[in-house]
Amino acid sequence: MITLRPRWPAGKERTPHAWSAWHPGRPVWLGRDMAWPAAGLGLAVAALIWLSAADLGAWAALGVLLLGAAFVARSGVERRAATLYLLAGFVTVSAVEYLTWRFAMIDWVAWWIALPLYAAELFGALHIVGLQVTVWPRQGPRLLEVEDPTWRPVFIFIPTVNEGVAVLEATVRGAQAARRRYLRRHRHARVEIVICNDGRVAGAPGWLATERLARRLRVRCITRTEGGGAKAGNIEHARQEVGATGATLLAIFDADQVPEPTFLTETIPPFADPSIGWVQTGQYYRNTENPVARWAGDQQQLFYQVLCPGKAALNSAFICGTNVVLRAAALDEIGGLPRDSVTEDFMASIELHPRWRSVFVSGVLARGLGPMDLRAYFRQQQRWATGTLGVLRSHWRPIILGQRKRGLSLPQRVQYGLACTHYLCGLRDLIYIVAPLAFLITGLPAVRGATLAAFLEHFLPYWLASQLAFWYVARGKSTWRGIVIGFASFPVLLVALATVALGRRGTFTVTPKLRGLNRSISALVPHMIAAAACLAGLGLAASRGLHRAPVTVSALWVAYTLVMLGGVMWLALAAEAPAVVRAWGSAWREAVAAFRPVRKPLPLASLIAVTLLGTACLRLSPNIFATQPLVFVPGRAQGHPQLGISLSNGEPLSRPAQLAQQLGAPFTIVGRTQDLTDRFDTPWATALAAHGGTPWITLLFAPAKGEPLLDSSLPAIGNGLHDAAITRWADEIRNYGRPVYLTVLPHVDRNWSISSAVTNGGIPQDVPRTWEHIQSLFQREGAHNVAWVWAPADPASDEQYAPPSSSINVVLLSLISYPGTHWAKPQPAVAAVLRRHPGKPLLLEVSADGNPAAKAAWLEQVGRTVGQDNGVMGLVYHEGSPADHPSATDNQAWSMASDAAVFRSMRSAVALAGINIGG
Amino acid sequence: MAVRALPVVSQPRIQAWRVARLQISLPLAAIMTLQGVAALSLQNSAFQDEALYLYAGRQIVQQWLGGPKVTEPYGAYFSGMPYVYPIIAGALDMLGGLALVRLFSLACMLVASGMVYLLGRRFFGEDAGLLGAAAFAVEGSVLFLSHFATFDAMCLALLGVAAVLTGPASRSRWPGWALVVGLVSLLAVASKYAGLLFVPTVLALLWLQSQRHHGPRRAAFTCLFAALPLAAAPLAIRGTPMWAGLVTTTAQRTALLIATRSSLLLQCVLQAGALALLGLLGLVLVLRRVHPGSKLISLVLWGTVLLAPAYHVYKMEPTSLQKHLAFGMLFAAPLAGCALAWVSGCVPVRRVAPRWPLGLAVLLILFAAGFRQAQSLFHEWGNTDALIQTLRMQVRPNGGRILAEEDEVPRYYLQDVVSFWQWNHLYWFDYTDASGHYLQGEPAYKAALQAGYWDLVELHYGANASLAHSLDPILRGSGKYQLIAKLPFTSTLGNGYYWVWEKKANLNG
Repeated sequence: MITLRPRWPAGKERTPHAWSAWHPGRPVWLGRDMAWPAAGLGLAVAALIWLSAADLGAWAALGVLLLGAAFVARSGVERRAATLYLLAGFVTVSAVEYLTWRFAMIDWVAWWIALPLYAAELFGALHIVGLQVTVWPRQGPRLLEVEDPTWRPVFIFIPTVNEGVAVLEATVRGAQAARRRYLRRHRHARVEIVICNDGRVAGAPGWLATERLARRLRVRCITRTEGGGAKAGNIEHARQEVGATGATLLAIFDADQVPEPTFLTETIPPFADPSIGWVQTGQYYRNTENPVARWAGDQQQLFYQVLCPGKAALNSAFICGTNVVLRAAALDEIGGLPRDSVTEDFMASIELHPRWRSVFVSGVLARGLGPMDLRAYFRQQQRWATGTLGVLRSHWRPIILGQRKRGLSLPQRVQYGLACTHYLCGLRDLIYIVAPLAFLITGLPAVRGATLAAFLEHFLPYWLASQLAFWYVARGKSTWRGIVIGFASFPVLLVALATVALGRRGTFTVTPKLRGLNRSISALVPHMIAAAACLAGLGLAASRGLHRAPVTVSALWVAYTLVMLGGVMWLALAAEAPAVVRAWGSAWREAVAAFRPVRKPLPLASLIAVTLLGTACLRLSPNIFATQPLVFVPGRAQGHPQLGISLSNGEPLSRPAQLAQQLGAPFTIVGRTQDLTDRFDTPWATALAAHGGTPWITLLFAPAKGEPLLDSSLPAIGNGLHDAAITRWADEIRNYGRPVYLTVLPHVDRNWSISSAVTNGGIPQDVPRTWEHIQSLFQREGAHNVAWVWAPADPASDEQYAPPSSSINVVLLSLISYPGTHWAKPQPAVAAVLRRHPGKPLLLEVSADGNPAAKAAWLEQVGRTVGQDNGVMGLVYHEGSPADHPSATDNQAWSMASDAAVFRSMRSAVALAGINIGG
Repeated sequence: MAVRALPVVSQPRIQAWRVARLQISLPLAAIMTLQGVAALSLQNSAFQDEALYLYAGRQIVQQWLGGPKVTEPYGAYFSGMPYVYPIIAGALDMLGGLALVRLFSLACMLVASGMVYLLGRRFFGEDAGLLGAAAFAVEGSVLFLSHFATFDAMCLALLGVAAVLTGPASRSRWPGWALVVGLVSLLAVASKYAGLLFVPTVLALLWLQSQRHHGPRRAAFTCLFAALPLAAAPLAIRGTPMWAGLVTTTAQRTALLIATRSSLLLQCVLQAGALALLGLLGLVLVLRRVHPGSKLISLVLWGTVLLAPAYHVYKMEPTSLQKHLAFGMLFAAPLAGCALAWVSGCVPVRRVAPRWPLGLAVLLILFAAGFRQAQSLFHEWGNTDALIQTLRMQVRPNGGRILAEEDEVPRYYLQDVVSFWQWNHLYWFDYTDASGHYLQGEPAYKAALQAGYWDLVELHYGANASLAHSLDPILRGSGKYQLIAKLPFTSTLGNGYYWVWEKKANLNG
């Protein structure tokens, strides 16, 4: 019989900073205090429904953030709590908002993928919101100090099966150190260390060595001779053997978990409160030189450093099987640890929590061995998944529906629900992998009726909120490695789910503490298949064209999955071939070290600032760094007329080079017609300039598809309807920086012109205004490298239409000679134009289709005219048919090379014109 | 020689002051940021009134700068003085277009939110002020006015400033402060005549505060002093077109559109009901001494929220109701702040508001409703971008005449090309036909159409639908006009088309 000696007056309260426990003083959800929480819950739900119904998209999240910030900043809460409050609101509202919108976008035709995908997203959102519920800042724990727990005998149980004495010895020695420290502080205390040896029943070869170790270290060893109940059975057997029942306390360590000397001094005091059933501490790995253990440790830390304190504040910190101190009386109540579950600890917690409170002590109080390879990690995850999913299957009713009497509280049910369903994430990840691939393969979208903009408007706030919220609580505790290794376990989690769904019982297996050879690679077959499928999916996406928003979004998802899978494979490689990975790692570190000076905050900030500033300057004013604007004054080249060619529709851009070669004379002016919606072809113009050529663009204000013809009218142009496009052209030509001939409003004096002064709402008086309006935009943009070519159909009598002479640089005379018509005589035509536009350089454009002999003779006349008159600055042959949609035959008939005789006469014309063929 | 030590403020006090300032400025900044961002997201082409005021303002400014004389008697039908808001708006429009003028409205409404905070802080404490400002800032009517270039935002801001100035005016023995209150109120009324409805509230606040400091006689004198500029103003404008404008648009207004009283009441409840209800809760809290504050001031503040609905319901006038509701909210919002402070657990005063998520939930509900309302209000008129683009293809300086059903918007957007004289509308028109007959109204329109008087005709069958329909047969059957565009538009009130007709002669060139 053990006598307890209370030391402190009953009812005294302590608030240890390192403890997290449910505050028993004033239950918030009970009694008269019910009104405000109920109102709060009701209002919160109403607000969520209202926000969702209003379909505010990102506005809902913004409202929460800003109004929440206003409240929190005023409400006097400290910064971390305030941030957590805001993030929780942000996450919850954006999640509800996104999921509401997503529901409306479900493609019911492809329900077989759409519904699972939505369910997966819903599941993900529930856990993201659940995380916020867990980490929500709460009032610190208060514990009653009713008795002195140090008077209670303490048993330290170290269950072992096949871990080996090397592993076990460290643990026993750690336990002895913890006992020494505890006894030094509490001389009246009693602590007994017991090795619970299950090696014999498990057939482990070293079970006798365990007994020898116990004798050597002078600790008690209880070796089972009859199996059953796995770890729980082992502990229960030892408990009965040594009498660790009733008023005693029971500390449990897995064979690899070496307690710190302070373990008992930190974990026993909370038992001063008689309502405390157990005190749990975290699990930390000491073999973090092993990559798998390190990554798994990251994942563990998220649970023990982020979730467990939050769960403890809700009286929901459950037993994790090791590094825990249990009140034996509590275990007695439920008949000891459950022996029919592979996660006996979790099951026991559910049974104990309605009556007993739990405490979580943060800080590192024991260090163990993490899984050494991926296969060991997967085995561990599968066991935990099978156990917790099994509990969900067997205990879903008390967890989800609750019990009327002495059941779990609502917060506890929420926490157990989250813990039980956590391992469904394997199924979620599988759906996330399959859904985009299914779309890429079948073309059936899971989401219908959503534009990319709408998707981003709803998804981005949600994604941003969840990422911010997660990394805020995880910072300094966990890293991306934990995420990747968690994702890696999706195949075994699926196996666990199948095991539970089929009603099979999982077997308790000890996580191996030694590394096996080539174990990781063979465990990665599902990942490799998934990666291959993702690569194929990306190939498919590329073939379908990434310009389609749904394909792009799916491809991004697949790429993300591929990155995760790549991370898993890297881990496997690092575990199996550390030398190779180390070599890569050191190369990477060296590369990073080379940039170390830049990583100093100030230079880096400067670099970013300068880059941003530069980019902004370039965006705001692209001509900041442009060279001095060139002013183009057109005219003859060194006294000689220039030779040019203008291309009709359908003529290849390579045509001038071919003809120049045949002609033996280079074209210094090359013309083409473009629409306002086109872009200035800088590469083409640059290539021309490299051979001494100057581009001549005839710019048409052709209406875009679906736009009315009036869009091209002179009033429309003059009134600024096309200012943006004209300005773009001006910018592009200015950026080109070399001379350009530009014709706008060609044949404006005729009704066939797109922008006509005689039809389509245009009148002759509109021409000068429109012409000058276009020029003013070019002037404003600094595009002075343009020579303006005035090209009416009849430049000899254009008085009604012509813009001011000062705004014209070149006048174009087009002599297009159609077959069966009277061909204009070049000389009088040129003379008439020069009389009408005295002092203006004249560009003579010619083309003909007809009798070859007549064409040849006419061309020679043209050449003579150009040669005789100094006012003509150049001769341009319009190569190809002037028709809108000419055939190849038409173009050939109109070509300067339509006939050998014609081509010869073209050569003669060039010579007669006095064109400098030396280039 | 004795050296007098300078007062030294200890470091902790400075820090405490800074923390206190931060605790106020941060929430207020967050509230105003939300108001600003939400308001800026409201986008549509200019509303008829906006276009009218901006065009008028530009004309007046240009006249002052030596431009042509303004011939239009804007004062006769503007609901505010043409020389107050329109000239500010016109000048801003010349600098940065409609966007800049709307930004001015936003600035005014942010000032109004700030004034709600200051009023609430003075009468009911810091928390009530902040929460009142938040409730005000997220109201649909307020968000709408925050990006709407009319008289209202400026008037509202000035009324808020006048109300806040009643504080120093009531404490001071110098009557100049009261005069300042009166002048600011006068400026508010000059901005928009409807502001006159709320001036009694300002004077009542001045009286109630003054009599607490100096007794009823002195308070009456202060109020009288404040009312002086307001009393003198009618004498100054009597007999001018502005007097006619004041009378016809506000004092003896005849409803432009008639709505049933029940529908107007429902509209008031939907648009201002939530804030009024919160204000009522705040009033009850003050009356029952749950929340500190003056009972009489609370009654005055809450009573003001009823003024605009009462006026509109009485006149059966739906025009501008949604804007005028914001005026009442300016005064009732501090009381709503009291209610929110109580819901959030700020009352009695505590360092940490224990139930703040509740208050946040209420505000979020208000914001969701308000933002949706503002979006709906901002799309009550069809977007005219396509119409303007089409007209821009047709018009030229000093070209032909244009008949637009409501010419304010196209006239504003095309003012760089089309002169004032080129425009006609469907409100009134007189015409002398070829036989010398002087015609007015519908016959005038018909005769002018028959004669091909207008080069362009735009109809959308809106406010003057019956007249527009009566012109249809001529447009279709006379052979003078040709339909060149039928441009769809959507608004929260319904869908429709802009029909653009061009005189056939033009097409033939």
